[in-house]
Amino acid sequence: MPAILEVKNLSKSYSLARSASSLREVFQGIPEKFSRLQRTPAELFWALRDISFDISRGESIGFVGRNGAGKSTLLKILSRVTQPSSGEANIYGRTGSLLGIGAGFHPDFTGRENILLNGVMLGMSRREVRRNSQKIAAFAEVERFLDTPVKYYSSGMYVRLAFAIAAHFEPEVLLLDEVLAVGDASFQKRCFAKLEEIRRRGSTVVLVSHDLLSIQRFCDHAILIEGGRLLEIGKPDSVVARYLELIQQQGKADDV
Amino acid sequence: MTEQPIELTAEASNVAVASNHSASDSVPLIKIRPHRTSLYLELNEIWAYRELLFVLVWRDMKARYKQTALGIGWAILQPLSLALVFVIFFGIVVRVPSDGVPYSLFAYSGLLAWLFFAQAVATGCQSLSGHGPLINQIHFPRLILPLANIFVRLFDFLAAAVVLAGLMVFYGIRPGWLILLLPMLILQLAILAFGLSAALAALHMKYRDVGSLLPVVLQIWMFCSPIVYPASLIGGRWRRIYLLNPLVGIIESFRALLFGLTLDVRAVQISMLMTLVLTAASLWIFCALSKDMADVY
Repeated sequence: MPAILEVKNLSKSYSLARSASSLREVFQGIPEKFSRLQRTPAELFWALRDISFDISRGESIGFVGRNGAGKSTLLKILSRVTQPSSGEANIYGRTGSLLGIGAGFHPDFTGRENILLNGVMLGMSRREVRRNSQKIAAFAEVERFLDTPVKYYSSGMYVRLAFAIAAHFEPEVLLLDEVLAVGDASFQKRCFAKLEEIRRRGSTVVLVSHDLLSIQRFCDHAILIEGGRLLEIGKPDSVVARYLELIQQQGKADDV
Repeated sequence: MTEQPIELTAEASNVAVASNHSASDSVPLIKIRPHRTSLYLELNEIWAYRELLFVLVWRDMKARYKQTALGIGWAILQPLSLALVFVIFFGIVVRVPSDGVPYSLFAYSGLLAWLFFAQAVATGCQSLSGHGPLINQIHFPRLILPLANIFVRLFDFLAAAVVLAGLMVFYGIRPGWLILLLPMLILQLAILAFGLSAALAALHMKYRDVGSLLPVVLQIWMFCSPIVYPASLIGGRWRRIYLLNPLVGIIESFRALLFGLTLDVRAVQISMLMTLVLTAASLWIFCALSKDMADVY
């Protein structure tokens, strides 16, 4: 199978030196900047370091790792929300991402209007959205409330609608960051059925989740990230086992 | 930030959706590399995302109708009430000259152009910082947010312009054929407002002081522009400095075209040059700052 996603030596660093957040700090920092010229540059924090992997068309992949390991940063780079500091990635298809819930939702707008708003923001054309809006509403189970402003929606309805829009976008690569955890059990079940359908169509699903069981069930491969580095890539069962081992070791180290 | 070698070839772009991707599997559709935002690519992408631009303008227009009782009525009421105040104080009490045009017409036309500019810059300054979740979660050309804001403000401008047309009919003032140049002038004003608001919006993401500083600057700027008084009041050597304010040329020509007054060609030339310089500098600032926007937020 040809690769749909190639990641080569991807790194992302943040400067730990606190940058000025007001104009006063900028001016106060000027003399310091001159005197610092001879000294070493600011300390760097590597959120991601030398990440490389390939994903073939139609495969789905899950990322596991502890909080702050760099999973979300990686997804942000692949979604082109932020830039890598070095390295590169190629994606051979259209991407759709759901990094948070209802990023473009407007509380005063109705469900129907928000489907249009959010769908176009994700990269659909208006015609595509209109064609799918009935299906989206049905999937999210909000058909009766389609003309109600979403500020009156329950948080579950809100999440379901946001997921439904992204899932009906039909991208070649769908990037999901921990968004399924919010819905109830029956909705999660339908979400995975939908993801399965997307995968069968030949699209790739990239999933970040702390729900290890669903990663084991759904993904073809898993990647363990720890401290910004790729620790292991392989079958979900063995990667998850390694992850649990890592947590256990950490727990023991904390006890000592 | 350690900046690794910057690749700035045309293909190192973020240029979005290409339609023929299935035809050639070996060519990546999306290349992700560390790079500086280039204006050329950003503008290219805005074209690819024109549907988003349309939807953002639609959203802002519609949101106003949903949230305010008067809706677009505010676009007319704001310049009208300010003009009333100015007519009473500067037209009737102080008797400021107005180049032979009825003062109320003079003040309203000046305020119409000024308020379009000032409100576009003021709301444009918040256009990025007010969309944190979008910037943090969705890929799109960031320049589209200040751009959408300009279009929304243009609708306000057009609504308020209807009142101006009414006033002109009331006073029986006929514009000359030069009024056909008016769209060009409005375009110049819109470009200037767009450039400045884009730079300010990017700066506002980093330094929130900008939001507090801007109203003061705009207040001063208004009195440095011929809104309540004619530019002919500023003479001698001060005039050369005065003309460097691009709004002087724009607003004076705005009135000249509307009321058939003589056009100061030199003022027009200087204001066009200043518009070009300021817009270019502003967009350069925007590009320099937009790279880490999602990290800053």
